[in-house]
Amino acid sequence: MSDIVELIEKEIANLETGIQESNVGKIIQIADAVARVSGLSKVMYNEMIAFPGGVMGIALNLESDQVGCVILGDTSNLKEGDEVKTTGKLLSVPVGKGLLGRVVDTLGNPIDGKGSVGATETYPVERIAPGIMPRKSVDQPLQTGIMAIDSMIPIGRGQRELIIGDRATGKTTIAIDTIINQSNINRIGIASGDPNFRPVYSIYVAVGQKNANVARTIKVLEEADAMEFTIIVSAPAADNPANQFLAPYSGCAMGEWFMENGMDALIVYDDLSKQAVAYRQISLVLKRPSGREAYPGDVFYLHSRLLERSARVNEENGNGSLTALPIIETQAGDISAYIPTNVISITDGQIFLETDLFNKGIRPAVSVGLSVSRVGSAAQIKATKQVAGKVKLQLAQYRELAAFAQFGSDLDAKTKAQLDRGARIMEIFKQPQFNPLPIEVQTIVIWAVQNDFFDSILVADIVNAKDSLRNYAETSCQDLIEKIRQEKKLSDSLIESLRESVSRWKETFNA
Amino acid sequence: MLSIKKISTFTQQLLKHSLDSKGLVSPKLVQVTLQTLRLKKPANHLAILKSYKLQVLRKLQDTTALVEYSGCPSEDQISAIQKLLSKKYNRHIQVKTKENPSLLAGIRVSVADDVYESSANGRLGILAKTV
Repeated sequence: MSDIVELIEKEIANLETGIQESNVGKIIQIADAVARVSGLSKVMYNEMIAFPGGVMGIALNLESDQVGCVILGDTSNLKEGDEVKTTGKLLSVPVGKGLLGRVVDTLGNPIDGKGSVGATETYPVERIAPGIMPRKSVDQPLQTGIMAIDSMIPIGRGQRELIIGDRATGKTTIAIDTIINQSNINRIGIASGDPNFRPVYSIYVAVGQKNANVARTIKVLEEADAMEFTIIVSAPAADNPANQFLAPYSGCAMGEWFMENGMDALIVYDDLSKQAVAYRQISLVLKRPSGREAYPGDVFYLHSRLLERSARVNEENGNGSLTALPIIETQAGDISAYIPTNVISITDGQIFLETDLFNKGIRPAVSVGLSVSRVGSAAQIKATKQVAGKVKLQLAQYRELAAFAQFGSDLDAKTKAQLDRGARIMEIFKQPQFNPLPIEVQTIVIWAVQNDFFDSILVADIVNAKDSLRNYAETSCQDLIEKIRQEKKLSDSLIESLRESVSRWKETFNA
Repeated sequence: MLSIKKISTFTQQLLKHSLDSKGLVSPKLVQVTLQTLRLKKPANHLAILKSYKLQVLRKLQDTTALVEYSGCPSEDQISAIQKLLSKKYNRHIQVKTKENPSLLAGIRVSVADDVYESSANGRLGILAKTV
């Protein structure tokens, strides 16, 4: 009893005699959410600065007689001469599972009206990426549920795969499909009770998007029951550029928590072009020297330090992973522009979406020739490799022959067969949005195509046939799907039962 | 045309010549420096003067502690504050005092951009933040 009273008295005594030491400065200029501050002689790079009215900023430019700060809140009440203080803290955001199912802003504050986020830990927004020693090769798949991607451009856990294309070519859709597929897989995996099952948690970072688009994305994820495993970080177009510049780092810090605690996470940066534009705006207002396309000299570092934080770490470091799907919007299909080339060189591959394909109705409009996954094939399950190993080559040959066949009508049987197969594969890869396909069903469909079951079906009917086979497989071949899921490869006996099942489907489809 | 960096280096040298043995800005030496500059008229005279003014101001801020109080502190207290600050900053610090009733009670000491707050007003501010 007396100990407790003593403890409280000690606290009171400390409070009465304590001296508050602070390093202060004065705003000398403020414009476009960037303030120039005199004083602050002890400020650190990237330190949080307290502005009047509870507004926070970050010190970005440390000069001999002034400090350039970006402001992360409402600047309308700030004026020249206001006193600001250093905080001795780096910008941090809440992390943890409490954020799942929530929509937060750049600073991790909830913006979905569901009350405070139940997070007990915080991580600094800017962190150094894992080094060489804690890393491990990508060896586990991260299935998107999109046939064209899972079969030809596979993604592994810990990989950085760029989604690149013009506006309105389906970049966000691919990312959303991937998130939905993760939640579908998570639900099946958790229900199976498999102790080795590793769920993938998703983080969707919306940068510079219209609020209506973000609301639509949230609605889609809610309808697909995917919000349970998802965090949304939103820095919409109406937000100030500092928030848009920092949102990907905040999302990354949230993802890193999962990775460092031995879990797997997926992060989508939608999109990094807008983040680069926000950073360019800040840099220009801070009067940093501009380079190509008026971007500052460190715009490469802006993206490299972000994407390097995605990794697969080894067993000694928890065996977690953070997979990144950055999105870049090109102008008129120009992938040789400054930001696209930068991000292409940083990532482990890219999924290129073409406007022409999109307009032709080939959706997802994945350009097979320009898309590549540099490390993902090591993570592809054997069953997919067995059935889809040749697909990319077949499609490349098809494209060549299709271009050549335009000039002549006389084709030999082999060429004609290649053209027919190619046309069917193209149709097979057409997939509606927000409708990811489980990898086992993908395996069955591609196996059926490769084993001539679709040859007798008209090209125009291929999409219907694929849907019919999917329905048949999901309703009548649950055992087969389960076997593929468990064995992850097509053994002779499995191929035999696959042949039987697909033959039965073919009879019903023909009838 | 001298570059900004060269002007800054030059005025730093001028500032060195304007300090007395305690390292404080000496009004007499500043006068001498200004007189010399007036006679020699270097290139970028105006820019040099402006830069010199900034350097002198910064030095003055660095070597002066402003003690704001509510309830007058004694001579001994002021002297103790001066000794403490000179020891902390490892340079001679001059103390200027100013009454500030808004502090309600206690003192606030500012040395350049460092502020040491031990006033009732400061405590209330912290309390307001935590509530």
